[in-house]
Amino acid sequence: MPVIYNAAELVQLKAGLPFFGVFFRLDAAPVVRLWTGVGMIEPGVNALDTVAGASYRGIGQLTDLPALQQLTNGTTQRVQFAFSKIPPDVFGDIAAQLQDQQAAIAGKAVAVGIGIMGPDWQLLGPVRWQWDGYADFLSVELAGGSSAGDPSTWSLKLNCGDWMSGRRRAGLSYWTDQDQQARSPGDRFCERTPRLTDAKKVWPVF
Amino acid sequence: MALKHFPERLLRSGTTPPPRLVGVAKTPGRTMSGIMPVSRSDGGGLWAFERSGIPIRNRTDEMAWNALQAHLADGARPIIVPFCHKRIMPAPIVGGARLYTLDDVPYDEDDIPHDDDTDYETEVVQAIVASSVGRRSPTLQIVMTVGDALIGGELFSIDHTVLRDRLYRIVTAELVSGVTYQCTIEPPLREAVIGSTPVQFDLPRCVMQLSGAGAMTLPLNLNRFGGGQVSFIESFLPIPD
Repeated sequence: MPVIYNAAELVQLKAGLPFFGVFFRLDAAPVVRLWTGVGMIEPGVNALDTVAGASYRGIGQLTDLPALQQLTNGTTQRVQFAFSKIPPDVFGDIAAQLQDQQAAIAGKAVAVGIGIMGPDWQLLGPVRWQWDGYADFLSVELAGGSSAGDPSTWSLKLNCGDWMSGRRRAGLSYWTDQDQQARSPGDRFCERTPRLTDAKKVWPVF
Repeated sequence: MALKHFPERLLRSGTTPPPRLVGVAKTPGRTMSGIMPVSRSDGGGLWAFERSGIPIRNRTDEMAWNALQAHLADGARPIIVPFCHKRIMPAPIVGGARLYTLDDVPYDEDDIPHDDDTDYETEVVQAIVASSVGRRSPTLQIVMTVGDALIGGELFSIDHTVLRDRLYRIVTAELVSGVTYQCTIEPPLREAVIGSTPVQFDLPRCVMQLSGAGAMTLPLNLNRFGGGQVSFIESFLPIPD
Protein backbone atom coordinates (compact mmCIF):
# COMPACT_ATOMS: atom_id res chain seq x y z
CA MET A 1 0.00 0.00 0.00
CA PRO A 2 1.64 3.30 -1.01
CA VAL A 3 2.44 5.88 1.65
CA ILE A 4 0.46 9.07 1.15
CA TYR A 5 1.93 12.23 2.63
CA ASN A 6 -0.18 15.29 3.30
CA ALA A 7 0.66 18.72 1.90
CA ALA A 8 2.48 19.92 5.02
CA GLU A 9 4.64 16.80 5.11
CA LEU A 10 5.47 17.15 1.42
CA VAL A 11 6.71 20.69 2.08
CA GLN A 12 9.09 19.42 4.76
CA LEU A 13 10.26 16.51 2.64
CA LYS A 14 11.00 18.89 -0.21
CA ALA A 15 12.99 21.06 2.23
CA GLY A 16 15.20 18.11 3.12
CA LEU A 17 13.33 16.96 6.23
CA PRO A 18 14.99 19.38 8.69
CA PHE A 19 12.83 18.27 11.65
CA PHE A 20 11.76 14.73 12.31
CA GLY A 21 11.45 12.15 15.04
CA VAL A 22 12.43 8.49 14.96
CA PHE A 23 10.07 6.13 16.79
CA PHE A 24 10.78 2.65 18.15
CA ARG A 25 8.04 0.17 19.10
CA LEU A 26 8.40 -3.27 20.68
CA ASP A 27 5.16 -5.26 20.77
CA ALA A 28 5.69 -6.82 24.20
CA ALA A 29 3.33 -6.75 27.18
CA PRO A 30 3.19 -3.85 27.91
CA VAL A 31 4.21 -2.28 24.61
CA VAL A 32 7.57 -0.44 24.77
CA ARG A 33 7.41 2.87 22.94
CA LEU A 34 10.46 5.13 22.59
CA TRP A 35 11.50 8.04 20.43
CA THR A 36 14.65 10.05 19.84
CA GLY A 37 13.30 13.42 21.01
CA VAL A 38 13.11 15.05 24.44
CA GLY A 39 10.31 14.14 26.84
CA MET A 40 7.07 12.33 26.14
CA ILE A 41 5.03 12.60 22.96
CA GLU A 42 1.64 11.27 21.89
CA PRO A 43 1.85 10.87 18.11
CA GLY A 44 -1.76 9.75 17.69
CA VAL A 45 -3.21 6.89 15.68
CA ASN A 46 -1.04 5.08 13.16
CA ALA A 47 -0.80 1.65 11.53
CA LEU A 48 0.41 0.00 14.75
CA ASP A 49 -1.12 2.22 17.46
CA THR A 50 -4.75 1.96 16.45
CA VAL A 51 -6.02 3.66 19.60
CA ALA A 52 -5.15 7.29 20.32
CA GLY A 53 -3.25 8.23 23.45
CA ALA A 54 -0.19 6.00 23.15
CA SER A 55 2.82 7.80 24.67
CA TYR A 56 6.41 7.50 23.50
CA ARG A 57 9.21 8.10 25.97
CA GLY A 58 12.21 10.10 24.90
CA ILE A 59 15.71 11.25 25.67
CA GLY A 60 18.25 8.99 27.23
CA GLN A 61 16.31 5.78 26.71
CA LEU A 62 17.06 4.89 23.10
CA THR A 63 20.75 5.71 22.74
CA ASP A 64 21.59 4.33 19.33
CA LEU A 65 19.81 3.29 16.17
CA PRO A 66 21.47 1.06 13.60
CA ALA A 67 21.43 1.68 9.87
CA LEU A 68 18.28 0.00 8.60
CA GLN A 69 17.91 -1.33 5.10
CA GLN A 70 14.92 -1.86 2.87
CA LEU A 71 15.14 -5.61 2.28
CA THR A 72 14.22 -7.06 -1.08
CA ASN A 73 14.78 -10.29 -3.00
CA GLY A 74 15.14 -12.44 0.06
CA THR A 75 17.92 -10.42 1.70
CA THR A 76 17.99 -10.34 5.43
CA GLN A 77 19.43 -8.12 8.14
CA ARG A 78 20.30 -8.41 11.79
CA VAL A 79 20.53 -5.16 13.74
CA GLN A 80 21.23 -4.06 17.27
CA PHE A 81 19.40 -1.30 19.16
CA ALA A 82 21.12 0.28 22.15
CA PHE A 83 19.30 1.49 25.24
CA SER A 84 20.45 3.18 28.39
CA LYS A 85 21.06 0.75 31.25
CA ILE A 86 20.88 3.58 33.76
CA PRO A 87 17.67 3.26 35.81
CA PRO A 88 14.75 3.54 35.16
CA ASP A 89 15.08 0.32 33.18
CA VAL A 90 13.75 0.61 29.62
CA PHE A 91 12.04 -2.79 29.88
CA GLY A 92 11.31 -2.47 33.59
CA ASP A 93 7.54 -2.52 33.02
CA ILE A 94 7.79 -5.91 31.31
CA ALA A 95 9.77 -7.66 34.04
CA ALA A 96 12.18 -6.76 36.82
CA GLN A 97 15.00 -9.17 36.04
CA LEU A 98 16.95 -9.34 32.81
CA GLN A 99 16.30 -13.05 32.27
CA ASP A 100 12.55 -12.52 32.62
CA GLN A 101 12.71 -9.59 30.20
CA GLN A 102 14.56 -11.84 27.75
CA ALA A 103 11.85 -14.50 27.95
CA ALA A 104 9.09 -11.94 27.47
CA ILE A 105 10.72 -10.09 24.59
CA ALA A 106 12.04 -12.94 22.41
CA GLY A 107 10.15 -13.20 19.15
CA LYS A 108 8.11 -10.05 19.67
CA ALA A 109 7.60 -7.64 16.76
CA VAL A 110 9.86 -4.58 16.55
CA ALA A 111 9.10 -1.58 14.36
CA VAL A 112 11.00 1.63 13.58
CA GLY A 113 9.27 4.61 12.03
CA ILE A 114 9.62 8.28 11.22
CA GLY A 115 7.37 11.21 12.14
CA ILE A 116 7.74 14.35 10.03
CA MET A 117 7.68 17.52 12.13
CA GLY A 118 7.37 21.19 11.41
CA PRO A 119 9.68 23.99 12.63
CA ASP A 120 7.67 24.17 15.86
CA TRP A 121 8.36 20.47 16.53
CA GLN A 122 4.76 19.44 15.99
CA LEU A 123 4.01 16.25 14.10
CA LEU A 124 2.48 16.99 10.71
CA GLY A 125 1.13 13.49 10.16
CA PRO A 126 1.08 10.00 11.64
CA VAL A 127 4.19 7.97 12.34
CA ARG A 128 5.19 6.12 9.18
CA TRP A 129 6.67 2.72 10.04
CA GLN A 130 9.70 2.05 7.84
CA TRP A 131 11.23 -1.15 9.21
CA ASP A 132 9.89 -4.15 11.08
CA GLY A 133 11.57 -7.19 12.54
CA TYR A 134 11.55 -9.48 15.54
CA ALA A 135 13.38 -9.21 18.87
CA ASP A 136 15.92 -11.90 19.50
CA PHE A 137 18.11 -11.52 22.58
CA LEU A 138 19.28 -8.91 25.07
CA SER A 139 22.84 -8.22 26.08
CA VAL A 140 24.41 -5.80 28.53
CA GLU A 141 27.56 -3.88 27.70
CA LEU A 142 29.79 -1.85 29.99
CA ALA A 143 32.49 0.04 28.11
CA GLY A 144 35.08 2.65 28.96
CA GLY A 145 35.49 4.08 32.44
CA SER A 146 39.25 3.83 32.50
CA SER A 147 39.61 6.90 34.75
CA ALA A 148 37.61 9.13 37.07
CA GLY A 149 37.08 11.70 34.35
CA ASP A 150 36.06 9.11 31.77
CA PRO A 151 32.64 7.73 32.72
CA SER A 152 31.82 4.29 31.42
CA THR A 153 28.94 3.62 29.07
CA TRP A 154 26.42 1.15 30.40
CA SER A 155 24.03 0.05 27.71
CA LEU A 156 21.46 -2.63 27.02
CA LYS A 157 21.56 -4.02 23.50
CA LEU A 158 18.54 -5.60 21.80
CA ASN A 159 19.45 -7.81 18.89
CA CYS A 160 16.77 -8.10 16.23
CA GLY A 161 16.33 -9.83 12.93
CA ASP A 162 13.78 -9.68 10.20
CA TRP A 163 11.46 -12.51 9.23
CA MET A 164 14.03 -14.07 6.87
CA SER A 165 16.86 -14.15 9.44
CA GLY A 166 16.42 -17.74 10.46
CA ARG A 167 15.77 -19.37 7.13
CA ARG A 168 19.10 -21.19 6.99
CA ARG A 169 19.28 -21.91 10.68
CA ALA A 170 15.82 -22.54 11.96
CA GLY A 171 15.14 -21.38 15.47
CA LEU A 172 14.40 -24.24 17.80
CA SER A 173 11.25 -24.29 19.86
CA TYR A 174 10.26 -26.87 22.40
CA TRP A 175 7.10 -28.38 23.76
CA THR A 176 7.83 -27.01 27.23
CA ASP A 177 5.33 -25.02 29.20
CA GLN A 178 7.62 -21.96 29.12
CA ASP A 179 7.86 -21.97 25.34
CA GLN A 180 4.14 -22.57 24.96
CA GLN A 181 3.37 -19.65 27.28
CA ALA A 182 5.59 -17.45 25.11
CA ARG A 183 3.78 -18.61 21.99
CA SER A 184 0.30 -18.53 23.44
CA PRO A 185 0.00 -16.98 26.93
CA GLY A 186 -2.42 -18.85 29.16
CA ASP A 187 -2.41 -22.05 27.09
CA ARG A 188 -1.92 -25.06 29.40
CA PHE A 189 -1.39 -27.61 26.61
CA CYS A 190 2.27 -28.27 27.47
CA GLU A 191 1.86 -28.03 31.21
CA ARG A 192 2.50 -31.72 31.85
CA THR A 193 5.10 -32.52 29.21
CA PRO A 194 7.82 -33.11 31.90
CA ARG A 195 5.80 -36.12 33.04
CA LEU A 196 6.26 -37.71 29.59
CA THR A 197 10.07 -37.60 29.68
CA ASP A 198 10.53 -41.28 30.46
CA ALA A 199 7.19 -42.45 29.19
CA LYS A 200 7.13 -45.06 26.48
CA LYS A 201 4.12 -45.04 24.23
CA VAL A 202 3.44 -48.31 22.47
CA TRP A 203 1.60 -48.01 19.21
CA PRO A 204 -1.61 -49.99 19.60
CA VAL A 205 -2.23 -53.09 17.53
CA PHE A 206 -5.76 -53.19 16.29
CA MET B 1 15.58 13.97 49.90
CA ALA B 2 13.74 16.90 48.32
CA LEU B 3 15.05 18.67 45.22
CA LYS B 4 17.63 21.29 46.21
CA HIS B 5 18.16 24.73 44.72
CA PHE B 6 21.57 25.86 43.46
CA PRO B 7 22.32 29.20 45.16
CA GLU B 8 22.02 32.06 42.70
CA ARG B 9 24.93 33.92 44.31
CA LEU B 10 27.25 31.04 43.36
CA LEU B 11 26.39 31.56 39.68
CA ARG B 12 27.46 35.19 39.44
CA SER B 13 30.49 35.59 37.24
CA GLY B 14 32.11 38.04 34.89
CA THR B 15 31.16 36.10 31.78
CA THR B 16 27.49 35.29 31.70
CA PRO B 17 26.47 33.34 28.60
CA PRO B 18 22.70 32.78 28.64
CA PRO B 19 21.25 29.28 28.72
CA ARG B 20 21.00 27.73 25.30
CA LEU B 21 19.04 24.95 23.69
CA VAL B 22 21.21 22.16 22.36
CA GLY B 23 20.00 19.52 19.97
CA VAL B 24 21.19 16.57 17.96
CA ALA B 25 21.89 17.65 14.42
CA LYS B 26 22.65 15.25 11.60
CA THR B 27 24.16 16.10 8.26
CA PRO B 28 25.07 14.03 5.23
CA GLY B 29 28.09 16.28 4.75
CA ARG B 30 28.81 19.29 2.60
CA THR B 31 27.75 19.08 -1.03
CA MET B 32 29.93 20.11 -3.91
CA SER B 33 28.13 23.44 -4.07
CA GLY B 34 29.02 24.10 -0.43
CA ILE B 35 25.58 23.51 1.00
CA MET B 36 25.40 21.43 4.15
CA PRO B 37 21.88 20.18 4.84
CA VAL B 38 21.14 19.68 8.53
CA SER B 39 18.38 17.66 10.11
CA ARG B 40 17.37 17.43 13.75
CA SER B 41 15.58 14.60 15.51
CA ASP B 42 15.76 15.80 19.11
CA GLY B 43 12.22 17.13 19.41
CA GLY B 44 13.27 20.63 20.48
CA GLY B 45 16.52 20.14 22.36
CA LEU B 46 17.71 20.38 25.93
CA TRP B 47 18.80 23.42 27.94
CA ALA B 48 22.51 23.72 28.57
CA PHE B 49 24.09 26.29 30.87
CA GLU B 50 27.70 27.07 31.72
CA ARG B 51 29.38 29.50 34.06
CA SER B 52 33.07 30.14 34.54
CA GLY B 53 35.10 32.51 36.66
CA ILE B 54 32.63 32.40 39.55
CA PRO B 55 34.40 34.29 42.34
CA ILE B 56 34.92 32.16 45.45
CA ARG B 57 36.63 34.35 48.02
CA ASN B 58 35.64 33.20 51.46
CA ARG B 59 35.23 30.09 53.54
CA THR B 60 31.43 30.12 53.39
CA ASP B 61 31.33 30.11 49.62
CA GLU B 62 34.01 27.47 49.29
CA MET B 63 32.30 25.16 51.75
CA ALA B 64 28.98 25.66 49.97
CA TRP B 65 30.63 24.90 46.62
CA ASN B 66 32.22 21.71 47.93
CA ALA B 67 28.98 20.52 49.48
CA LEU B 68 27.04 21.15 46.28
CA GLN B 69 29.67 19.36 44.24
CA ALA B 70 29.36 16.30 46.46
CA HIS B 71 25.56 16.45 46.37
CA LEU B 72 25.40 16.65 42.56
CA ALA B 73 27.50 13.46 42.26
CA ASP B 74 28.93 14.15 38.77
CA GLY B 75 25.45 14.46 37.32
CA ALA B 76 23.69 11.57 39.03
CA ARG B 77 21.47 13.88 41.07
CA PRO B 78 19.30 16.73 39.70
CA ILE B 79 19.08 20.23 41.16
CA ILE B 80 17.00 23.34 40.44
CA VAL B 81 19.17 26.01 38.79
CA PRO B 82 18.04 29.67 38.73
CA PHE B 83 18.71 32.06 35.84
CA CYS B 84 19.03 35.69 36.87
CA HIS B 85 18.95 38.04 33.87
CA LYS B 86 17.16 41.22 34.87
CA ARG B 87 17.59 42.93 31.51
CA ILE B 88 15.24 40.53 29.72
CA MET B 89 12.80 40.27 32.61
CA PRO B 90 9.51 42.07 31.69
CA ALA B 91 9.78 44.27 34.78
CA PRO B 92 7.05 46.91 35.16
CA ILE B 93 7.99 50.53 34.68
CA VAL B 94 7.31 52.54 37.80
CA GLY B 95 8.09 56.25 37.94
CA GLY B 96 9.96 56.08 34.65
CA ALA B 97 12.29 53.30 35.76
CA ARG B 98 12.05 49.53 35.69
CA LEU B 99 11.22 47.97 39.03
CA TYR B 100 13.29 44.80 39.43
CA THR B 101 12.81 43.97 43.12
CA LEU B 102 10.36 44.69 45.89
CA ASP B 103 11.34 45.22 49.49
CA ASP B 104 10.54 42.31 51.76
CA VAL B 105 7.72 42.86 54.24
CA PRO B 106 8.47 41.83 57.85
CA TYR B 107 6.20 39.43 59.68
CA ASP B 108 5.33 41.95 62.34
CA GLU B 109 4.69 45.70 62.26
CA ASP B 110 7.66 46.06 64.63
CA ASP B 111 9.99 44.80 61.89
CA ILE B 112 10.18 41.34 63.45
CA PRO B 113 10.82 38.58 60.91
CA HIS B 114 9.48 35.03 60.94
CA ASP B 115 11.06 32.40 63.18
CA ASP B 116 13.58 31.53 60.43
CA ASP B 117 14.62 35.20 60.08
CA THR B 118 12.83 35.63 56.74
CA ASP B 119 10.20 38.17 55.77
CA TYR B 120 7.28 38.07 53.39
CA GLU B 121 8.53 38.28 49.84
CA THR B 122 6.89 38.28 46.42
CA GLU B 123 7.83 38.41 42.78
CA VAL B 124 7.67 41.69 40.94
CA VAL B 125 6.19 40.24 37.73
CA GLN B 126 2.89 38.45 38.30
CA ALA B 127 1.77 36.28 35.40
CA ILE B 128 -0.36 33.18 34.89
CA VAL B 129 -1.29 30.79 32.11
CA ALA B 130 -4.61 31.90 30.61
CA SER B 131 -6.05 28.47 29.78
CA SER B 132 -5.11 24.80 29.89
CA VAL B 133 -2.62 23.61 27.29
CA GLY B 134 -1.48 20.10 26.42
CA ARG B 135 2.00 18.63 26.53
CA ARG B 136 4.36 19.62 23.67
CA SER B 137 2.26 22.60 22.71
CA PRO B 138 4.40 25.27 21.01
CA THR B 139 1.99 28.05 21.96
CA LEU B 140 0.75 29.43 25.24
CA GLN B 141 -1.48 32.33 26.37
CA ILE B 142 0.01 34.31 29.24
CA VAL B 143 -1.85 36.88 31.32
CA MET B 144 0.54 39.60 32.52
CA THR B 145 -1.27 40.74 35.65
CA VAL B 146 1.75 42.83 36.71
CA GLY B 147 4.61 43.44 34.32
CA ASP B 148 5.69 45.06 31.12
CA ALA B 149 4.43 44.04 27.68
CA LEU B 150 5.88 40.86 26.22
CA ILE B 151 7.84 41.35 23.02
CA GLY B 152 9.65 38.03 22.53
CA GLY B 153 13.00 36.87 23.91
CA GLU B 154 11.91 36.67 27.55
CA LEU B 155 12.82 33.64 29.62
CA PHE B 156 10.27 32.14 31.99
CA SER B 157 9.70 28.93 33.87
CA ILE B 158 6.70 26.89 34.96
CA ASP B 159 6.71 24.63 38.00
CA HIS B 160 5.05 21.54 36.54
CA THR B 161 3.35 18.88 38.63
CA VAL B 162 5.64 15.99 37.67
CA LEU B 163 8.68 17.44 35.93
CA ARG B 164 8.92 20.44 38.31
CA ASP B 165 10.58 23.68 37.11
CA ARG B 166 11.18 23.83 33.34
CA LEU B 167 12.61 26.74 31.38
CA TYR B 168 11.07 28.22 28.24
CA ARG B 169 11.80 31.16 25.96
CA ILE B 170 9.20 33.31 24.24
CA VAL B 171 9.81 33.40 20.50
CA THR B 172 6.91 35.66 19.50
CA ALA B 173 4.29 37.45 21.57
CA GLU B 174 1.07 38.97 20.24
CA LEU B 175 -1.36 40.95 22.36
CA VAL B 176 -4.77 39.26 22.26
CA SER B 177 -6.74 41.52 24.57
CA GLY B 178 -6.11 43.49 27.75
CA VAL B 179 -2.94 41.98 29.21
CA THR B 180 -3.26 38.54 27.61
CA TYR B 181 -0.58 37.56 25.11
CA GLN B 182 -0.53 34.69 22.63
CA CYS B 183 3.05 33.42 22.73
CA THR B 184 5.01 30.88 20.74
CA ILE B 185 7.63 29.27 22.91
CA GLU B 186 10.63 27.03 22.66
CA PRO B 187 11.05 24.25 23.51
CA PRO B 188 7.48 22.85 23.36
CA LEU B 189 5.84 22.46 26.76
CA ARG B 190 7.43 19.61 28.68
CA GLU B 191 4.18 18.84 30.48
CA ALA B 192 0.54 19.86 30.22
CA VAL B 193 -0.46 22.93 32.27
CA ILE B 194 -3.86 24.02 33.55
CA GLY B 195 -5.21 27.55 33.47
CA SER B 196 -4.06 29.96 36.20
CA THR B 197 -0.73 28.16 36.65
CA PRO B 198 1.83 30.78 37.76
CA VAL B 199 4.50 31.77 35.26
CA GLN B 200 7.86 32.73 36.76
CA PHE B 201 9.64 35.67 35.08
CA ASP B 202 11.62 37.17 38.01
CA LEU B 203 13.96 34.23 38.50
CA PRO B 204 13.25 31.47 35.97
CA ARG B 205 14.43 28.05 37.03
CA CYS B 206 15.06 24.64 35.51
CA VAL B 207 15.77 21.17 36.83
CA MET B 208 19.28 20.39 35.66
CA GLN B 209 22.17 18.06 36.32
CA LEU B 210 25.91 18.37 35.87
CA SER B 211 26.83 17.62 32.27
CA GLY B 212 29.30 14.95 33.36
CA ALA B 213 32.20 14.03 35.57
CA GLY B 214 34.44 17.04 36.12
CA ALA B 215 31.71 19.52 35.14
CA MET B 216 31.99 21.38 38.43
CA THR B 217 35.51 22.44 39.43
CA LEU B 218 37.13 25.02 41.65
CA PRO B 219 40.79 25.67 40.85
CA LEU B 220 42.22 27.71 43.75
CA ASN B 221 45.17 30.09 43.77
CA LEU B 222 47.24 29.92 46.96
CA ASN B 223 44.44 27.80 48.38
CA ARG B 224 42.38 30.95 48.88
CA PHE B 225 40.99 32.50 45.72
CA GLY B 226 39.46 30.79 42.80
CA GLY B 227 37.08 30.94 39.88
CA GLY B 228 34.55 28.17 39.96
CA GLN B 229 33.40 26.54 36.76
CA VAL B 230 30.18 24.61 36.33
CA SER B 231 28.33 23.13 33.37
CA PHE B 232 24.71 22.01 33.55
CA ILE B 233 22.33 20.22 31.21
CA GLU B 234 18.57 19.85 31.58
CA SER B 235 17.73 16.78 33.60
CA PHE B 236 15.06 14.15 33.17
CA LEU B 237 16.31 11.98 36.00
CA PRO B 238 13.62 10.80 38.42
CA ILE B 239 12.67 13.67 40.73
CA PRO B 240 13.27 12.78 44.39
CA ASP B 241 10.28 13.08 46.71
